[in-house]
Parts: sequence; C-alpha cells; structure tokens
Amino acid sequence: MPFCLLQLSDGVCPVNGGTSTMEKEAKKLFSRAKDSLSKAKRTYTCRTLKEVITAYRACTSSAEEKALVKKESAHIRDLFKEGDTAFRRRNVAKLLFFHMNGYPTDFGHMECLRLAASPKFADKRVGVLGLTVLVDERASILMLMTNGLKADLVSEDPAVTALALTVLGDIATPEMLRDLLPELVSHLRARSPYLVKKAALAATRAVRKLPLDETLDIWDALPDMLATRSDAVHLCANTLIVSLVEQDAEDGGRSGEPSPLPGLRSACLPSILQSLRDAVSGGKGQVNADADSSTAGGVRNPFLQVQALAALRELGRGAGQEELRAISDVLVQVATSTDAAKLAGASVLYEMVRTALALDTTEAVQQTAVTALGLFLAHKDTSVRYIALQEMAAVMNRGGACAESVRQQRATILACVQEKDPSIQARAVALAFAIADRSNVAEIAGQLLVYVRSLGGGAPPAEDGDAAASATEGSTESGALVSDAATKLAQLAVQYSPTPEWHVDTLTSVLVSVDMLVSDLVVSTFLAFLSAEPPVVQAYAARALYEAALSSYAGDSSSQPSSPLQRDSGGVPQRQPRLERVAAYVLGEHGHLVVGATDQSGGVGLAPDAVGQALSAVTYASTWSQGEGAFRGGPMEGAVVGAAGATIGEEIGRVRSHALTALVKLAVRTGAPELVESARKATSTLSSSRDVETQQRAVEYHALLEGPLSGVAAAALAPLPPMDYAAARRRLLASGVRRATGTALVTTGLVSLLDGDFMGGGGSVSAVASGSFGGGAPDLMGDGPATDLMALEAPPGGGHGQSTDLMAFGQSTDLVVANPTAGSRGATGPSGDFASSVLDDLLGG
Amino acid sequence: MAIHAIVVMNTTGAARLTKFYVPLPPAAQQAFVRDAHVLIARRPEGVCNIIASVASVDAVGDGAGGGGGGSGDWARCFPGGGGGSGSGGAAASAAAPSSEGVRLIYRQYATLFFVAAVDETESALGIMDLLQVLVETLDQCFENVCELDLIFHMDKVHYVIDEIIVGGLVMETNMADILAALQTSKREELASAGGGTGLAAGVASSFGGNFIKK
Repeated sequence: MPFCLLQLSDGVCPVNGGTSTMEKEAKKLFSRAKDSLSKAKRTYTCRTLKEVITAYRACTSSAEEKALVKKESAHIRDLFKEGDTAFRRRNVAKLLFFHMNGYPTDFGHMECLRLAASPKFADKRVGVLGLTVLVDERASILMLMTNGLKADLVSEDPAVTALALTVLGDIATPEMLRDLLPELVSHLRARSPYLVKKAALAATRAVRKLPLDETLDIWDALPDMLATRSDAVHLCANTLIVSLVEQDAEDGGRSGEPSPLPGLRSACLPSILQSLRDAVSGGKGQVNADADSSTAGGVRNPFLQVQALAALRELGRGAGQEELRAISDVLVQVATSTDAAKLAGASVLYEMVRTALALDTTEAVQQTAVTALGLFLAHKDTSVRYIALQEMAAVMNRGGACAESVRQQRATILACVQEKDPSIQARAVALAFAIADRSNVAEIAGQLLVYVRSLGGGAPPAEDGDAAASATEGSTESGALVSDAATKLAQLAVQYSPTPEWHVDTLTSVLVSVDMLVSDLVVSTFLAFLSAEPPVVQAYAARALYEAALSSYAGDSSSQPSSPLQRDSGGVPQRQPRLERVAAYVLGEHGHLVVGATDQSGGVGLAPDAVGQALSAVTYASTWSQGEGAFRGGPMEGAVVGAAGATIGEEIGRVRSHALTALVKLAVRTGAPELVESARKATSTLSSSRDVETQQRAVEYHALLEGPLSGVAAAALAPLPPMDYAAARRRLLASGVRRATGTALVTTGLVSLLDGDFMGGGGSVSAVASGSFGGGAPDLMGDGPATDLMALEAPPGGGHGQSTDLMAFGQSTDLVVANPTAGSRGATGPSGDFASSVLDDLLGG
Repeated sequence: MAIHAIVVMNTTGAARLTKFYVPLPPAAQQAFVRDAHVLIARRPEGVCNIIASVASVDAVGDGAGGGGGGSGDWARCFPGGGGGSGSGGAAASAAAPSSEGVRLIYRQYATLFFVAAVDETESALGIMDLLQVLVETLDQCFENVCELDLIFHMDKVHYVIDEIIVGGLVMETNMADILAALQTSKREELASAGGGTGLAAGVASSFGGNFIKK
C-alpha cells in the first residue's frame, strides 16, 4: 500500500506543462498521498509492548529512558488523536508501563474511557484496567462513565458486569455509587457467587463513601449473602459487615433513622458463628464444598475465618449477654482447634485474640487469648513473635485483668529480649518495662541489664583507625537506645525497688555498664535518693561505688601519678568518667561513714590510704588525660556526645573536680593522716595545673587545708543538706511519661530507631548526634564552673550552699526543667530526625 | 481502607508492579516505591516481615508535594481513612496526619519483594498469607513465574491482582476460583477480539499471549 502511494507521488511530480487544473489536482493528490504515507508509517511502526519494554531495558542511562518514553508517548498520542482503533489496547498497556515507571500518562485517560465504553470485551477489559491504574479516583473524567457502567451492570454477559463492578469497587466516586446503587444492590442477590462477591466489595465502597441512610438497601441484602455456600461470598459479606458497623458508629444516629445494627446483628450473627464452627470442626459442608483448594497450612480457609472473626469483633460490641456467650464459645472453639504452627493458623488465632480482647468476653476467654499470645512468643516465624509482643503491649496499655495474664508470660517475654531481630528486641524490651512491678522487678532489671550490655554500651570494642569511626557511628545509633534503657532502668529502681540496697546495686550496675550514656537526670535523681536515705544505705552506696569505680586505682603501688594510658597499656583506656564522678561525689559526701575502722553496717571499713590513693590517682589521671590525644575517647566518644551532651574530655574534667573535693572533704571529716597527706599532695600538685578552674580550686582547697578548720572552711566542706528526692523522683518518672505515654509511644519511638538500625546510613548518624542532642544539650549539664563552688568563700546560708556545691548534679535537674526542649528532644528527636534524615540522605543522594 | 497499595519490586528497587488503592499523585507513588525499597532492602534475612510506620513520630518529611523530590516518610504518602470526598489537592491529603498505623508487610521471593502497605484494620499475618496466595497464583499463571514474566506481562499481573483484591479489600483467596475467573475473562477477550480484522486479532493474541494455559 505505501509503495503504490509512493509510486503515485513519484509519478505525479514529473508532470509538466499541464493545465492548471491538472496541476492543482496533482498537488492535492500529492499532499493526500503524503499524509497517508506518514499515517501508514506510524501504524506500521507501532511497536508492541514487548518491543517497548525491551528497548526501555536496553537503555543505559535515565536520559535515554526519558527520551525513549517521550518519543513513544508522542507516537501514542498521535495515534490516539487519529482515532486509531487497531493498536489502542496495546498502547494503553504501554501507558501502564510508563505510569509504573513514573512518566506522565494523562493524555491516555480519555482513551481508556473510550475503550471501557467499547462493546468489545477485549477493549473493555483493557480500558477498565487503564482506568483503575492510571486515573485518580478524584478525577472528574470518571463521571463520564456513569451511563456506560449502568448499561454494563445490567448486561447479559457476566464478564462485562464483573468489570463494571470492579470499577465501582476500585475507583467509583460517591456520585457514581449513588447513581448506580440500585443496580449494585440487585447484584448482591445475584445467582453467581462471582458477581456477588464483586458486588459486595463495591457495596463496601458505597457504604464508606455514602451517608448511612442512602445505603440501607445494602444492609437488607446481607442475610441472603450469608445464606449462600460460597466461601468468597462469605468472606466479602464479612468485610461488608465490618464497614457497615463502622459506618453506623460514625453516623451515630445523625441520619435520624434508627440504627439498623441490632437487626443486622441478630440476622447475621448465627450464620457467621456457624461458618466459623464449620471451618474449625473440619466442616460438615455447610460452607464450601471443595475444602481442599481453600485449605492453607492445615487450616480451612484462613482468610474467611479471619474476616469472620473481624466481623464478630464489630458485631459483638454492644451485643447482648446471650450473643456474647455464643461468641465466646466459638472463640474458645477456634482457639482450641487451630494449630498455630503454620502462618495461616497463627493468623486465625491472632484474629481470635484480637476479637476476644476487644469484646466483653469472659475472663476465661481473655485468659485463653493471652495464653495464645504467649505461645506466639515462641513461634518460629519472627513476624508472629513481633505481632504477639505488639498485641501484649496493647493489652498492658489497656490494663485490667489481662495485664496480669501478660505478666505471667514474663519468662517468654524476657526470652525475646535476647532476640536477634532488633525490632522484636525493642518491643520485648518495651514490654518488659511495661510489665515490671514490685514482685518481678529484680528479674526483669537483671535481664534488661544484660540487654543493655549486649548493645555494647559499656564494652569498648577494638579500636583502630577507620574501624573506630564506623564503630562510633554504630554506637551512636544504639547509644540513644542504651540511654533510654538506662533511664527506664532507673525508673524501675525508683518505682519498684524492693530495698534501697537493690536500688544502689542496680544504679551501680547501670553506671558500670553504660557509663556516659546514663543521663544526668538519672544521676541527679540517684544522688538525691542517696541524700535522703539513712546512713546505712549511704555507707553501702559509698562502698559499692568505690569498689566498682575506684578500687582499681588503689592498686597502683607508686605514688606517681599514673596515666590511664599506662594503666591500660595493653588496650583501650577503660575510663568510666561518669561512674567515677558519681563515685567520687558519693565518697566525698558519704565516704566518712565507711572510711576508717568500721563502717555503719558493721563491715570492715575502707582503708584510708587506699581511698586516698585511688582518689588522687583519679585526680592525676584526669590531669594527664587533658592533653590532646592523651585520652582517646575510644569508640564511645561519638555516642557520648549524643547521650550526655558532653565529651569524655569534659566529663573527665568534672571527675577531677569531684575527686579533689571528695579527697579534701574526706581528709577534713575523717582526719585520717593518710588522707590528709594525699589531699595536701593533690592540692599542691594541682595548684600548678594547666587548667584554670582546677588550678583555682586546688589553690583554694590548699589554703583551706592549711588553715584552721573553722568559719569558711567548715562551711565549704560541711555535709550537704538532703536534696529534694521527691521532686527529683517525680521529674525522672515524668521524663519517662513523656517518652512512654502508653507503651505504644515507646514502641514506636524505639522501633523507628530500630528500623533505622537496618539502614545505617553514614551521614545521617552524625545528624542524629548533632541535630538531636548536640545543640543546647551541654547546657543541660549545668556544671557551673569551679568558681561557683568557690563562691563559698563568702559562705551563704545553708540552703544556698546546696545549690552551689551540688555543682552539676544538683543543677542539672533544674536545668532540665528550665530547658524543656532538651528533655523532649531526647524523647522524640532522635527517632523523628533520624527517620527523615536517613530517608532524605538516601533518597536525595 | 484496608490495603493501601500492592507493590512488586526487585531487590534493586525497580518497580515491577504498582497498584494503589488510595488516590495518590504519580510522584507520591514513585516516592513510596523508593522509600519502601530503602526500608526493606536494608533488612537482613530472618527479621520479621512487618515494618511499623515511622510517621507516628513527628517526622519532618515534606510529603508528596515536592514533585518526586523524595518524601521524608512513606507513610505520609497515604491519606487517612475516609478521604474520598473527591476534592482537595493531593498535597493536602498527603499531609493528613491520620496516616498513622500504615504498615509495610513484605515477603521476598527470589529477586522480588512483594510489598503490601496496609492499615491497622488489616491483620498483618493475614496479609502475609495473602501475598503467598498472590505469588502462588502467579506461579500457576506463568508456569514457574520469574521476574521477566512480570516485566513483560504487567497487564496480566494486574488482572490476577484484580481477581484477588478489589478496592483494597480481599475478595477471593481460593486459587482455583481465581484461575477459573481469569480463564473465563481470557476466553471472552479472545472471542470478542476474534471478530475484528486479522490485524486486530494478531494484536490480541500478542497482547493476551497464552495467559492461562491450564
């Protein structure tokens, strides 16, 4: 065909000298021929879907891909414009492909509409597919199909009707649904289950999009649907019931009509219960004759069971006693006869649990439900364990009798704390915190300490070159988690601790395990707690902390200042600045109770010379560590910035202050000659410290020690009055509330971090550190410069002395309050910032 | 809403099929696929198949309005529950805060991730089962389905999904019934296309292929 046209055009051109009419005729002919040619060319070059996809895949750059799609789209658009019918199905299919890859396809919407209106089924099918995929359900263009759909809905051909119902279910607008509702409802009672199930889902859409009083016809059709024997119809009917009940609740009687719910309940409940009974009992054949094809994992049609249970959940709300009893019976039946080993069984059981817990079922049923969740915790599929933890957290949130049943699953929950999957682990940890009470706190805290240690908070991993950098990143991520967990542990101790000694031990363990990641709030609360305890406990704490933090320093035989690098010449310096600082503070305040012959608890007191040695070693070591690079923060440093807002270097400076103060206080209070000697030596050595603050403090202490202990000296070194523990405790617990309004928030907070764990983006990590914690956080420390302390030279009243000498610890609590952003940042910042920053980084390149 | 989207993509993040049951502008759809891939691809084997929404924490994603600039958070892509009033800009609904509770459920088969975004009314375990049904059905349709089948026959995959899910709700899970329905449609299609010109019939066969050989 094109060839003959070509010849024709060739033949026309050479004509010469003819009349003007002939020439005109020839020109007309020529141009017509040219048009036909280009059209024919386009037609013959219309590539198949496969060719286009192959070409697209062969592109080596995205620019090439774009060019290809642009060219092909232009071609398709031309064909559409010409009203081509031969290739439009193929072209719509290409548009699907382009759409999936993110190219604009708007120009094809009209063509889809035309195809959908075509009498040919093949056209219709592609047209409907194009509409449901390409066209937004909010597009006004859809209104144009209403009449076509109406005709299709009453078509004799069930396949055509089915397509129309799919459109209604997928993308119909409220107006279309309203217009076509009569036809739709008639199909709810159709003979073919194939149409009924599609109609049921289209009706579900209508129920959701239209006000209650317009959809009452749908309610009436439900009993008929449930009377059929098709599993799929039952499935969809149950779905429809769920949305009907939701719609009814939303309407709340606004429409003026009496709620159709009670009628629906009495009409449908028996059939649903029966279908469930049949399903679990192996089926006497009321529902579904061909059991084999719908059986998955030994469970008969799990989808139907799940949806039926969901429908029961909706219908059961506000049901009468009699009905609830019937529901409970069936739930128990489901629970006892479902094997949860396979996923299908687990999903049915899970739905049973949700329904049992949502309704006012008997305690026995709820007990069964929680027991089933307990079994889930040991399931081999991680997702099932995850779900179980989530559901248990929800139960704990709700409280009530079920919470007690969850507590009984303590052992399994704690086992999940050891889980490898971090998102499960985080949920288990959150749940473990939630189930803690006075009776089980010891066990739970013990497990959680293991967890905290396993996160690597305290263990200094190998440190060499670039490995250190990556380790820092890793620990920054887990750093926030560890810090959280440490705070939660402190909260447990504050709330449930069986004895004060246990409280001391727990906090000491936390400090030993994660050191710098323990927040200031925790530390200050702990010190406030100690200050309010009787001397027995204070002595216990002083001894415990001394042994945990400082006793290793006492071993140094030489009185030479020992550098931490020398001390651990074999490996990484294992300084634990925060622990040492707390220990130094406690020794200074309460150490006189244990240093000496016997302490209050009757044990042998700490040897004054050892204590003196240890404290001065810390003082010197700190000095030594001040030089650049002398103290290598190790892999924790990055994490430390995040959690505490202070670098290890700064913290070491504070340790030095506290150790010096402790030494002087102990020397003055005990009068032990060894301590006095150590104190003299330390103050005189540090009087030439490079650090101004230290130097100043040392000089002043030195002067105090030399002079008589009265007046200024006595006031400066007097024991501090007890702090306001009740307030500190409230603040600590409140900080938890903010983080953990219900377990749900904890869970999401932790999990988003965790989900982040899998992402481990490079740049984002530092974003967490600097973005979430860096700014403003150092203020939180509130470690007033040493001069604050020396304000005591003009000694104020006793109460005032507290706020000055408390230094970091006393003030930091106030500062948390004064600086609310700091606290809340800790709670929400890391997760939110992290999630977005990671995605931004990774997506934005 | 129950199921918000079904996405099939390969392990490098190339979409093989996207089907959205909530109205999303194309740019947001692309952003969702990218974000979902980022989240899923980093997960080691053996961890659970459920990814909780991170939107419930106050993420600062710029939503879908940025014209494909990568929204901060995939869950923000989805408008909340009702949202069908037919009006309102895409950006407005994409920024709706009620997208909380949208989770990703995924399963991996060879080089492909099958991902469903679902809200909390849907049972996560049930969806995992559903993805299994989908994959088994595709396997029947294509006889040992592989990634290339999905690439070149995306339309057919859509037909399969449309027989399983309608409007985000599970319609049919019985594989025999799904296959039977597909076969009927196929027969109808061939019959109606056969009446046309030879050319059109040729197109139909190349288009329809031998979809269901059973």
